[in-house]
Amino acid sequence: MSSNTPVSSRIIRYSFFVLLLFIAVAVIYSVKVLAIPLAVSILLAFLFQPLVNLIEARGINRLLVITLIFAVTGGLVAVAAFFVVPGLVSEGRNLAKNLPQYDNFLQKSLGSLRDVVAAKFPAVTVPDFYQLIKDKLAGSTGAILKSIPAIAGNLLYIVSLLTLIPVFTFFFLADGYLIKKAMLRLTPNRYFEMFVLLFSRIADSVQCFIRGQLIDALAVGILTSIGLSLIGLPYSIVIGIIAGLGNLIPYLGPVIGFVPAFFVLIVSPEGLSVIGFVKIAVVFVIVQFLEGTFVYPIAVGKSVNLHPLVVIVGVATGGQLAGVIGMILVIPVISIVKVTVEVVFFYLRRYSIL
Amino acid sequence: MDNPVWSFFFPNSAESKSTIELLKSLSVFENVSTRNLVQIERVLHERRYRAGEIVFNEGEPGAGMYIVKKGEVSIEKKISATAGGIRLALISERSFFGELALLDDISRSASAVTTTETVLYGFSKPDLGNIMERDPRLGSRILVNLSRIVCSRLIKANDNLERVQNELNLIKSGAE
Repeated sequence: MSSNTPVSSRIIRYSFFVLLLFIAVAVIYSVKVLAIPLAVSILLAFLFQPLVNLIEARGINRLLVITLIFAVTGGLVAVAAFFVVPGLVSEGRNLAKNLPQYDNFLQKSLGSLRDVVAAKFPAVTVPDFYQLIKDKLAGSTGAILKSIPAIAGNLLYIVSLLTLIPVFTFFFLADGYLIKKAMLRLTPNRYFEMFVLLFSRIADSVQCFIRGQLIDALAVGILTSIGLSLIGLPYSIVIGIIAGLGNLIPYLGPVIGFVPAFFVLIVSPEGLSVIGFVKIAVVFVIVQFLEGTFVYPIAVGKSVNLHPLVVIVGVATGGQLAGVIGMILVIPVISIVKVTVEVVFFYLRRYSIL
Repeated sequence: MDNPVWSFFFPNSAESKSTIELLKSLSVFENVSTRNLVQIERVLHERRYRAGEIVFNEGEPGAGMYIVKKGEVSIEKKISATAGGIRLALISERSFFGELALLDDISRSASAVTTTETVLYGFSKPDLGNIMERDPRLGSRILVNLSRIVCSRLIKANDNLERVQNELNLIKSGAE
């Protein structure tokens, strides 16, 4: 029995596991290049696994199924790129062309706003809003412009991503169980069963969560793009992408898509009008309605419910740590951690360890 | 070579053949083709135990069944907190135990302790679920076999109950 073994040998055993963990973390940290393709491929494998299983159940060889899915997905991505990329490029070109005009508009309207405020509150020295915003923006756009050469210089990195992700995903889909088996092999006999159940429950919950969120975000993105292009608002695809990504953040999601749409309306040729505002609002309400009634219950279902306070604190922290990307990623990360902790806690209780 | 890392990357085909022979002889895998047994063999977890090691404890959630490759396992049930347990059965080589955990989320009804140095193959409930998803035919075959095993055990338990009842009636009538 393990409790009869001398303490020294137990210390050696646990040191061994700590050492293994340390080596794993060190390897991942030192080859950071691998971290992103690994994470993305695990996500993709989670996403595609049910589909692979479903087709395999019809008696088709698993490797063939995976190859088939890769071919179809590649084709779909190519078709989507064919339709979306030209639109995206022309939207970008328009934006660049119209930027001086928007700039002019902003300067004029903010100037008049300043005059109004100054007239109402003569005692206050009103700052130049336009200059304020311009200074802020210059800082951030400057940073983006500076990072472009670094990204282009990393073309090799992008190519390696494009090759590594499909290869990793392929092996995770084909031989994922071998990884699980190898990890379970390292667990002590006494806790083998607990780890078997833990692994499967955590994988199930995280898989459900990720799949649901991605489907939901995709649906919102596509619906918003379609809706906005139907009412003739420019930059509908870009706003759709923002709305889809923003949808990953509960409560704040709809607002995140609405704000850029509203700004585009202000600077659009027709200018800000009640009818234009109502049109956009109707699109967003319909998208939210469709998402809430049809997509969300099926795709996400009984998701991890986070308290609004947790969402607010999380989004603020994420924004502080990693900007906009942090704000979007923080909620999925918190949800995954929450599901994992719940499952671990449940089994530690049932195995009377806690 | 008896090195887990080595055998993970370079599986020993002779050993896997003997494992498949072992699986073939078990009633859980009756009527399962060799091709499917190869699939099952791939998901089995080989576990090595010293003598007197606990495989699982009564009352804990069960994660699956075990096949005894080498050694012997004693199935024990606690009677009271102080008196310790009584042995219900001794599971020897080439048999299996704990199969009820494959069917339901019920807790283990007894504990399993090794009596000598033992090698077990664990077949887990998540792995069975995965097999049912990927190959429903194979999954249903295993489930039918499991129900057969449970069925025959129920009949035996009913017989035992009847015999005990009869003996009890005899004792009662004798007392009167």
